[in-house]
Amino acid sequence: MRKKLHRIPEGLMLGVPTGINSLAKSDLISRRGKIRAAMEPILPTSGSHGDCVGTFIRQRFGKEVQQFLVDPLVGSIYAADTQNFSLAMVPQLADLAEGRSALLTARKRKRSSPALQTPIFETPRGGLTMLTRAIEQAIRSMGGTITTDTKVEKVSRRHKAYLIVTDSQTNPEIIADSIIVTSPARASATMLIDLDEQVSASLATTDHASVVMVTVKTQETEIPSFRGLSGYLVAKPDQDRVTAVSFGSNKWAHWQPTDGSMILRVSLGRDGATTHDLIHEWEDERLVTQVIDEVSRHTQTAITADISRVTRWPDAFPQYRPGHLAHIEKIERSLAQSSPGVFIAGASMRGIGIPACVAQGENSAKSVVEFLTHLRD
Amino acid sequence: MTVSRRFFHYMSLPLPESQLAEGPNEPDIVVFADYARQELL
Repeated sequence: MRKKLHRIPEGLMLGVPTGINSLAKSDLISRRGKIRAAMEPILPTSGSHGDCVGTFIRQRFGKEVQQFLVDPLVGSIYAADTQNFSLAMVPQLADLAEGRSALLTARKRKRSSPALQTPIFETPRGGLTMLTRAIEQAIRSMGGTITTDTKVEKVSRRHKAYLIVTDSQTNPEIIADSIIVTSPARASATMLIDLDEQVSASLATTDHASVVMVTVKTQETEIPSFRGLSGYLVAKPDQDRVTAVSFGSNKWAHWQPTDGSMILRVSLGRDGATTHDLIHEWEDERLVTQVIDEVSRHTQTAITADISRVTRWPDAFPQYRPGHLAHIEKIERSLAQSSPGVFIAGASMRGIGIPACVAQGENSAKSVVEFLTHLRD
Repeated sequence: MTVSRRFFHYMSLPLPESQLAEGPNEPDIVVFADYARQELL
């Protein structure tokens, strides 16, 4: 059996080797691939990588490190194909492109970051909905108003302010001095077409990937040899429909069933792979069967689903194409000129993770305060 | 989805420590791939 689960070498930084010894011991990369990667520190400075993660990693370390280390680790975060993804939007990797040797820079960064004695991840016990509830409570306690289940149709100028037209029966029009638009880029494109056609057209070109998440509670102790493992990623050349499997009950103590079963969270679909059928055509039962078949094959263990839940996320992952930062800076400049007081933030713009979105929210809030202060002076 | 521990410490939202669960210290991840395919080329 040549296809199997392989441990990733120790000491990687988002898949980038920080030393040759651990890579040499790995059975994930071939001898030829290891020799190619080991040459990295003595290679001359690479030519243009075109702001592409995949191109940069292949230039420095060769095809195998890109396909079997960096692409699974980075691609799984963004549901992306690193051969078509912006290097600048993965700051840890973009930093490595600054020096002469990416391996030596990665090693330096790894050594200078203090080893944590405590777990590096936390999550709300009640699920991530706890976060949105906490935000809602904070806004309401400060006298804010939240309107849900209401679609914004259009935003247009109304004298020195903005008119927001919604599909609400009771309150269809809202006048605002300043607006932060945080919806997915294509939805924002429709809203903003009357304000700035150029911005609207640029936002409409943003690509998104869809993902299906299948959560499975297995029957009792099917995968005993995987106890303690956080999960696995499927390298693209060996993918069918499953891209990653998280052993949720190994990662989180509060998820551990008492009957010896396991909870798996299985991701299907990504940018550049056929996903439309998974979202729009396949019934839940077929998705669960596919997951069980693939995971059984990957782990070489017969797995049976006890309980399952399917969640579809259509167009949920914005794809940062090479040149993304220049693209959004152009959008921001145009909007600042055409529509002062209107700001865009959110996952489509400067980062998909929760911390990146919170940071964008805070920066936008500062921009609104500055704008309103200026307006009143 | 998991969230970096540093994020919760930075965020000023009413989520007390008691409502948070800790994840693994060093996530142990493996990759499913064809064993050393390049050896055969």
